[in-house]
Amino acid sequence: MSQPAIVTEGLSRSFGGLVAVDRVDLRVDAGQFFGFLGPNGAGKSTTIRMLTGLLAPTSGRVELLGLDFERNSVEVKRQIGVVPEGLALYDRLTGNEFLTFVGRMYGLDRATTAQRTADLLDFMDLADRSKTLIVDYSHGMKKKLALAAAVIHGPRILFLDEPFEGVDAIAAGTLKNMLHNMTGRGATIFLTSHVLEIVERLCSHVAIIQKGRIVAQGSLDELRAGVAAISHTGEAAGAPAQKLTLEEIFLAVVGQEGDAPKSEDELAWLK
Amino acid sequence: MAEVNKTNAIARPTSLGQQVWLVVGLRWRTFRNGLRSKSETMHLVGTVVMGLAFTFVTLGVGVAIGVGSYKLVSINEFQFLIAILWGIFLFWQFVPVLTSQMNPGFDGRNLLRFPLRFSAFFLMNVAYGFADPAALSGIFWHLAMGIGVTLARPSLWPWVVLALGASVAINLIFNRMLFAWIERFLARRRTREILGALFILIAISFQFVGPAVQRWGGPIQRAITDSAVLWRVLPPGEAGVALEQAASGDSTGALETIGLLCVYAALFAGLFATRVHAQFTGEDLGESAAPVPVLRRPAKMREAGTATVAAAAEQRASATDNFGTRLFGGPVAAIYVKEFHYLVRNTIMLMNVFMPLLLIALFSLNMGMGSTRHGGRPPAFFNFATSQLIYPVSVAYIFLLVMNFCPNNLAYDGRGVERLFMSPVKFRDVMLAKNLFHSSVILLEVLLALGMVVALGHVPSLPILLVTWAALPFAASLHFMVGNWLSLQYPRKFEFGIRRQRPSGFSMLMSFALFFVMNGILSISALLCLWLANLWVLAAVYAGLSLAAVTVYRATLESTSQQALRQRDMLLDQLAR
Repeated sequence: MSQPAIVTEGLSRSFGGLVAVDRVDLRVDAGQFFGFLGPNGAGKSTTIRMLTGLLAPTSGRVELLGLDFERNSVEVKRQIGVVPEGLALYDRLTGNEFLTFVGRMYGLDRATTAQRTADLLDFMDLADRSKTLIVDYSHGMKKKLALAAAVIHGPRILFLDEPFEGVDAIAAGTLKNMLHNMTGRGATIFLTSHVLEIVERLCSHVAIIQKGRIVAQGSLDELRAGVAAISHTGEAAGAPAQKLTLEEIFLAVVGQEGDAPKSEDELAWLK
Repeated sequence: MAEVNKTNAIARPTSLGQQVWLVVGLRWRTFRNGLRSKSETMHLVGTVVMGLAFTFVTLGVGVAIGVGSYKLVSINEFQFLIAILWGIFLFWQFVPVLTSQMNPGFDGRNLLRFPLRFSAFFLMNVAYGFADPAALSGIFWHLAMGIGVTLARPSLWPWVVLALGASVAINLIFNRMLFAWIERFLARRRTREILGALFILIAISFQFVGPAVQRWGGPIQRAITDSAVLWRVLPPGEAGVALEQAASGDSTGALETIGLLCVYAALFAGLFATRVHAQFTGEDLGESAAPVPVLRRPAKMREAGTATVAAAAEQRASATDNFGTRLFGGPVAAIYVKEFHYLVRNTIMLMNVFMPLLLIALFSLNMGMGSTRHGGRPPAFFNFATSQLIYPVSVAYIFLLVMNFCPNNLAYDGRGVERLFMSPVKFRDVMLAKNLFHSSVILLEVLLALGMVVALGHVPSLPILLVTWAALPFAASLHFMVGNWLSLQYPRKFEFGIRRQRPSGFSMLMSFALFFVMNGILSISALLCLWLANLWVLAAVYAGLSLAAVTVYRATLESTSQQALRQRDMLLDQLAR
């Protein structure tokens, strides 16, 4: 059995009295394309921030590529790439300068950084704007640049927080191919997205978080089987188990623990 | 059903008063909720302590103005009231320029998404003028003058209220108008260059005042006397004129003068409203370049593009990285180069950093002219002061202004701070790179200043040179130690292209304290060595202090990594939100 890429044990984070992430145990094997789903405020971003060193856990531990994050943070960070929610760009640098900066931060030599910067700018269709300040980029361009920065050092694990939001369909297709190629070469991708169709198409394994706790985890087939077992009838949302979409699985899992759907009478003043 | 219909109505227009009240409430709640964080509480503490110091000065000057006004009116010398009002005007208008970091800025763009009336937006812009320490002092001094005049001549009280009230309005509106237009001019490259050139011309022309007075003293004095009438008709002096007219029984004249003051106020308000209206309609004064249209290249070009871009990237990397790479390792060099790009793209920071050099050049030029006024044989002390002290004083001045950025050295990183935490780099290296960059700027300016003073004939002696340079590592290390700690403990986010941004009040307070401690140590050492009449000993003492300070700095640098990890949540919350 190969070494898992991501392991968390009892990972928790509280903000004052609010428990945002509650004893999360995750296991993601190397080479997996892993989708991390949950409704708004469920704890997705908090979890991803703890997995990438942007937030300290209140308790529990994170192990990436067999290394304890807390004790080997620099070594771990060298092997991971991140596209965080806020993109973490230096917007008064040009695209070229920013990628050069990031490459050097990861310890790449000057020649390698320059070559990879050029390759990535061209791949992301940003070569025309390499001299433009990032502040003048559109949201989609910023997202592509953030993704380029996340892969410039050839990470073994890539964390992506809503990577396709604001990216046009053509670019999204190119990025998906790139990500598939990466997993094909053994990299692990950990992705959060609200667009369930994208997760269903890309990810082999999924975890669903609800109110800070993992409520479902496994391959898509395992989740389908689980939902079918819960419904007792072999069906959920009116579809046979083997044909359940991720959206139906998601609604079935989250709906059980989530709030009741709002009635049509509410917000009646809103025409 | 009727209930539903009531709530079904779309949002009704709110009155001006309601809108202003809503924004006041918003500001209050923002302030109150901000106090939940420790850094904001410490900011408040620092601001209050510094505010107290400022209050004492204001009170002292206020008492002097009140007593002075009483005496002047008692002996019927109203023309001196005009001089005092001019003094208050100059203080009110120019002190905010010098203390811009202490003043709250108003950026109402966030409010524009709401159906806010222009009148409410304009009123809020004007009202922010009251929050300036210089404005509060100015108002208090007007009040003091009013009390002094009223006590001396109780019958004048209605005129005091009208004239001095109008004077306060003029000062307030003029100040808001001045800043609004300066910000407008600084925001565009062409007008910024014109404004910069004008500023330099004015600064240079001041240097010729002395020689001009020497040569044409008589005619200039006559011209000033003749232009006294001008000082009386310009807005700052008008209130004094009105009081003088009222005191002499010329009520019609006094009313006309106050009317003229109101015309001035309306004119300035109009000019200010023009700016505010531009903001109200969505003007963005950011320093970013206008978006460049993307030109789609033909497929062949796109294929060839990779090689071209690679070559260009290689060239650019050579140009920008070489210096840093040769000196330091990868991440430190990367942050150093990033700091360089951020400095050259930040006009306001660049002006603050390099303005001392210009002022030193002008000051040196003036001192040179001053010495030639004594027929080529200046007095011994004057000669000593110009030739020997001008360099150390210049270095101290450079140091003071460049180090201004140290206590908040992550201010412009913004969301990039997340990148620093995501990268495999210890914060020790981040702070080291920033400190090295600051040191480079100081070193460059110190050498340029030496070149300038030498070129202007003020060659410092070797002991003076050594004393100056020996003290620098001591002062720099102390500032870096305290600055790094404050930057991680009490950070404040700054936006590009916005002038009036201030660091944490607590950081400013600590910086002042550090300034006094550092100067105390250096001064006590200097006094002891001057007592021994030996500058070489002083140089050796300063070198020893520097060695000790650099050693302590190195030790504390290591601890910044742990401090950054402890403060990580707060840093990201303050800087990257």
